Amino acid sequence: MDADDVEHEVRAELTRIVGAARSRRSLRERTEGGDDDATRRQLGELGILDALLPDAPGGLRLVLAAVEEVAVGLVAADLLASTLAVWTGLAAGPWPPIPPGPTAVAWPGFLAGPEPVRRAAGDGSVTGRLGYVPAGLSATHLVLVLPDSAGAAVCLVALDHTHRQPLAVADPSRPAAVVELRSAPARDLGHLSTVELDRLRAAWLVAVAADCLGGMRATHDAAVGYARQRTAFGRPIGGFQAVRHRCADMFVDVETTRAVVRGAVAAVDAGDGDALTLALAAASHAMDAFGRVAESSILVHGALGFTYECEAHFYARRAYGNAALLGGVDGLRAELATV
Amino acid sequence: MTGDAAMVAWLRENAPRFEAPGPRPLSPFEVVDEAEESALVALARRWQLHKFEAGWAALSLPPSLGGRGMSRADDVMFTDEESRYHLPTHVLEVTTRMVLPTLVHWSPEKRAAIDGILRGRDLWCQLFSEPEAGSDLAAVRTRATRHDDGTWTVTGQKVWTSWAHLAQRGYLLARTGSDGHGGLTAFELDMATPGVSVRRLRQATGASTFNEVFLDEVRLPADAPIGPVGRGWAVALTTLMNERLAVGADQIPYDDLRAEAARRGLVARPDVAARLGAIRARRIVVEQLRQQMVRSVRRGGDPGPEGSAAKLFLAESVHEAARFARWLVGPDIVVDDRWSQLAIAWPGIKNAGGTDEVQKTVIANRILGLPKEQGERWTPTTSNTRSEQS
Repeated sequence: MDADDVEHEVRAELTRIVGAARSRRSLRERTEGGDDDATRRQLGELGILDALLPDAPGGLRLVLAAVEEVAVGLVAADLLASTLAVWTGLAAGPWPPIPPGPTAVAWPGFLAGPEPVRRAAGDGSVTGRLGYVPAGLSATHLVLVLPDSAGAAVCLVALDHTHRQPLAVADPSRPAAVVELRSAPARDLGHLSTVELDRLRAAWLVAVAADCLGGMRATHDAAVGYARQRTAFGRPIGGFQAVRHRCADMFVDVETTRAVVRGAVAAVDAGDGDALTLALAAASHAMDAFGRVAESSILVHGALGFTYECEAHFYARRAYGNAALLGGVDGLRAELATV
Repeated sequence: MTGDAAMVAWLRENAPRFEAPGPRPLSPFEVVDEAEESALVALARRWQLHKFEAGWAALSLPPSLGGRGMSRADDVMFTDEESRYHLPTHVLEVTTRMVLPTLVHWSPEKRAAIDGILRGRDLWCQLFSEPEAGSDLAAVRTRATRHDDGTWTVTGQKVWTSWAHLAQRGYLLARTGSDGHGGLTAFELDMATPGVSVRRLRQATGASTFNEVFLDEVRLPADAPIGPVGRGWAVALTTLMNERLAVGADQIPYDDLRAEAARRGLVARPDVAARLGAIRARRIVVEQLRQQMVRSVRRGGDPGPEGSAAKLFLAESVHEAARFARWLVGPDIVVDDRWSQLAIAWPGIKNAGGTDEVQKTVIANRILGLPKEQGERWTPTTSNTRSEQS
């Protein structure tokens, strides 16, 4: 089996896991009930968490496939945060022997702008307030990226003795915490040069782009399914040209995103010289397109789309949040015009 | 050396000698005068012959027809590499990228016609659209009648035919039977035949790359049909499938826009950089869509209806580039130059190869499987083709 076949099989299994998670509890129940431990365990059994480790062959592709597929159901929100945390730690040095479980990353972290965290010169402990840490409640550890003149230091903070509060989030499918660090012990993971930071940033960007792609695929499919079955004026609304063309516009957004995300994943995986350029294009396009698709899906669902009975608004919430990450759509575009 | 590396190296060695003078046009519809156009055509023919003699003109053709028996995907890769140079290949685009693969597929016995294309001797035009049959290609009315001796007489009118004023040969779609797409036949036509008259049309930019073609009792020989009589629809589909592979990122003039913004000292402005970056992202998206189509072709598939998504996205990207150009040059838009021509060129890309509305209907029907529109007589493709307008 080549890498394409492996990815194909893993995606099929992921689709099953995500489908099971959705049938256990509705999105609304899930967002009110917190993280889904069963899904996390199944992802572990499928080997997705092992694939995060540096010696896993084809690991990056499989992890990003998982990030995309779980976003289809807006489940396992801590996977993205854990992925970015572990990749960041591993980019700096060996991953320490900590118990398995979700790990949070200081988000948006240095890769989008410095966090207001100070590190004590003596014992290296960290102090500061992190306003938005996705998966920050369920995580056992936090990866911090602390910029310096030569790049950034990366360290690991155990979260069990820190002060954490749930943040009231606009996207309830991605729970987050406010984390207060008060002279918290921090373990050094290593140092990243500016070149290594660029490489890491490309990986972060494609991960967020993959999250957008999964979400837009799902909400596009939902809109098309609804347009086939909902009747008005004596026929399915999918027979009206305006609705058909809106669905076709969504399809263009999904397919263009799919193509550029797949290309960017391959470039980052291969360590190509243009990986950051492709990742910037993929992330900025995916964020923008996800917003359009999510909004169109709400509109195709009519008045139902504006209610909690319908899941469409959850995808719009995810899209709006994603579009502000890592510098935001316009920030990434401006960067693309100047790299 | 891999095939790709050999291709890149050969082009680097040879292409610069055949580059056209002056800056690259910002759109395929930039105005050129007749002398410039003649020079470009002569250069394009020399380049075609040079490629053929060096073995790079027909990668996907079987060796029996002078090719190398490689994949269509290799043709596309070569075209992409070729597009890095300022070569006048656009005047031969219909000839080499639409007509050639169609002839090879349906009428490989037309050796002289294939050879004439490969050697840069013949320039072809594609006579599909008519005043009453644009996107609805099955409505073609031009009539071909067969005589007892097997020869044909054709009468009708074609329109928006790119390069007809330069072409030696035409690829004609005409009605030989009943209404609808079952009654069509494709023909090879010598453009010098009595009864063929070409009238140039002027496009919105002021350029004149396409034409009206009048066919008045034009006699065609018995061996004129391309493919079987009555199978013109299937022949045309082969051409349109190849047309999908013509969606190229080089139609989005990012580098020129970036340079013009820099010349005007505007790139440091975050809002300007963001708009530029959005256009660059679109270019990268089109490149990746194209690579996806190439991978699909290499696996033995065809570009498929997903090509409709690529076409829609490219056309919208060209429009966005045009809008940005208009904003960028500000009051200079009042001057007739390459920028104001770019600003008005976008409808040429939007309508060529099927309008936005037709492409969206293709997607709704063939990919999304949505219910048909009321009263819809759907014919599963698009005409008003790019090759007729580019």
